[in-house]
Amino acid sequence: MKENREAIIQLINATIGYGDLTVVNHVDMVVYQGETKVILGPSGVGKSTILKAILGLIKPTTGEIRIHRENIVPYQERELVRIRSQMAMVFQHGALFDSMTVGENVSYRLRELEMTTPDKIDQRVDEVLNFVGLRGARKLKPAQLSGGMRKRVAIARGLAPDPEVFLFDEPTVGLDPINHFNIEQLMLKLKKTQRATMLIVTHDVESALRLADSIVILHEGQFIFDGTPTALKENQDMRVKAFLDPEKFATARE
Amino acid sequence: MDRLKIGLVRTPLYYFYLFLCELGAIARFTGTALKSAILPPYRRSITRRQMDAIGVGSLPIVTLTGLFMGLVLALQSIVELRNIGATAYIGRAIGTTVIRELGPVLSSMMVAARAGSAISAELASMTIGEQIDALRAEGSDPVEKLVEPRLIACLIMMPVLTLICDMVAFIGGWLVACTVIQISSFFYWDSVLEVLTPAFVWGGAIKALAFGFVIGVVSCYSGMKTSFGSSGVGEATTRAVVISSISILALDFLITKIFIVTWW
Repeated sequence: MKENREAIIQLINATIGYGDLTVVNHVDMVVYQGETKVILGPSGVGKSTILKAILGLIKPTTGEIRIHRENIVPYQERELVRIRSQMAMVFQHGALFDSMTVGENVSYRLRELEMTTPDKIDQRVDEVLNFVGLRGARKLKPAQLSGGMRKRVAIARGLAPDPEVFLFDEPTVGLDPINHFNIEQLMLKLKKTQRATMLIVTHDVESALRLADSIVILHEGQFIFDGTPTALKENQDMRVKAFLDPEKFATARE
Repeated sequence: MDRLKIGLVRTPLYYFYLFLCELGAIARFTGTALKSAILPPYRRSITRRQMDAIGVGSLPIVTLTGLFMGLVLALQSIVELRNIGATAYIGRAIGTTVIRELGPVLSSMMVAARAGSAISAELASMTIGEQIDALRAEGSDPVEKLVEPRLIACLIMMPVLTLICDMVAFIGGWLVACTVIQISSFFYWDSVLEVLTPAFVWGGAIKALAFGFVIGVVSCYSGMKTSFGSSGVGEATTRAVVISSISILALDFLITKIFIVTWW
């Protein structure tokens, strides 16, 4: 069934790192159109690095990264801007521009790339702020927002230009249970109403199982699992089991 | 190449290799920043805001620097000139020293300490908070958006601030000259104006322009190349001020030598 869908993001034998440090070693991954894929793994294994490579912010040392079958690895910044315009990235801590208001943050790409008229930009900002439940926050500065609100503004910023692909970097990390629930609901709403292709990086297993159509697990620079949430629960690989239920695994070893 | 690098680890040659890599990175960054500053589009409104922050914001500290520089220079000059009975030349002594050397150098050092550190800290915070990555993800070029306006603002405001610093230093010198050795105001200003030749004035302005360029490039580079971690902002700021200050002094020597040989 999967083969009939278009592959939006492909990692082919990709090795990614920073300088001499290799973080992800010869990995392959496919994200299909309309799919919600989750990259699971403990903190610091290089999950966010994969997202940055997909956006073209860092280049892999070997292999290919394809967006809509185009290998973006040799692309210069100008060509990457075109590729990035199809994607929205929600950074771990929002990465909102401190010097701008919420409204300016949300409308940033629309204004910068002159995607539509000022009137329509205003209308779109209201629409997406309404979607994320922050109708009255337009004139606030990022410093005046809570962690959960910052994440929601970041989602609104991503949503404003109506991108095809959403990349989420640890969307629920550091949030209280209520904000955690709200952000997760927002992502489910995004999945259902926008039919967006989503690639989510997280270490939150429960959240991943609720959101994902398919899951990959990153362990020591390699994907050790790639399949559906159901297949993940039934997987017998000790490394996968250790990640999913570390307490039970530790008890079993004793 | 990797094998070569492994073979050189922790040897002086390896550190020299790292130094060359860093130099190459700075040269590439400078080239990109210059290209962005010269070619359109120009970010006029952001540049104006930066001119206000760098130029108008640095005005009080540069004015005070100029004033005390003039006062001290006059006091020191009086002591030496009295020995040779040439106190009448105090305006000339202050004029030459300020316009050619102390004005551009001291005002640039003050701008490096105040505005350069602020630029570096701001960009370092943005780097650590992933705002630079976010800018790129949103389709902007961080060099065009952040570096270009700051560099242009430094280039425009540094000569202006230097000129103001020079003027205030002359006034400081005049205050001391009039009160300590009771020289006439007309005589003092006439003596100062004698050394304000186009060669000296333009020479000072060119120095200020060069120092402004150094402050802009070093501060932006330092801020944008910050390593992750909370201490990164502090390190970037310190690095920006230290490298800017040393570069200004070294560049001053080089420009002075060139001017003496060719122009002054």
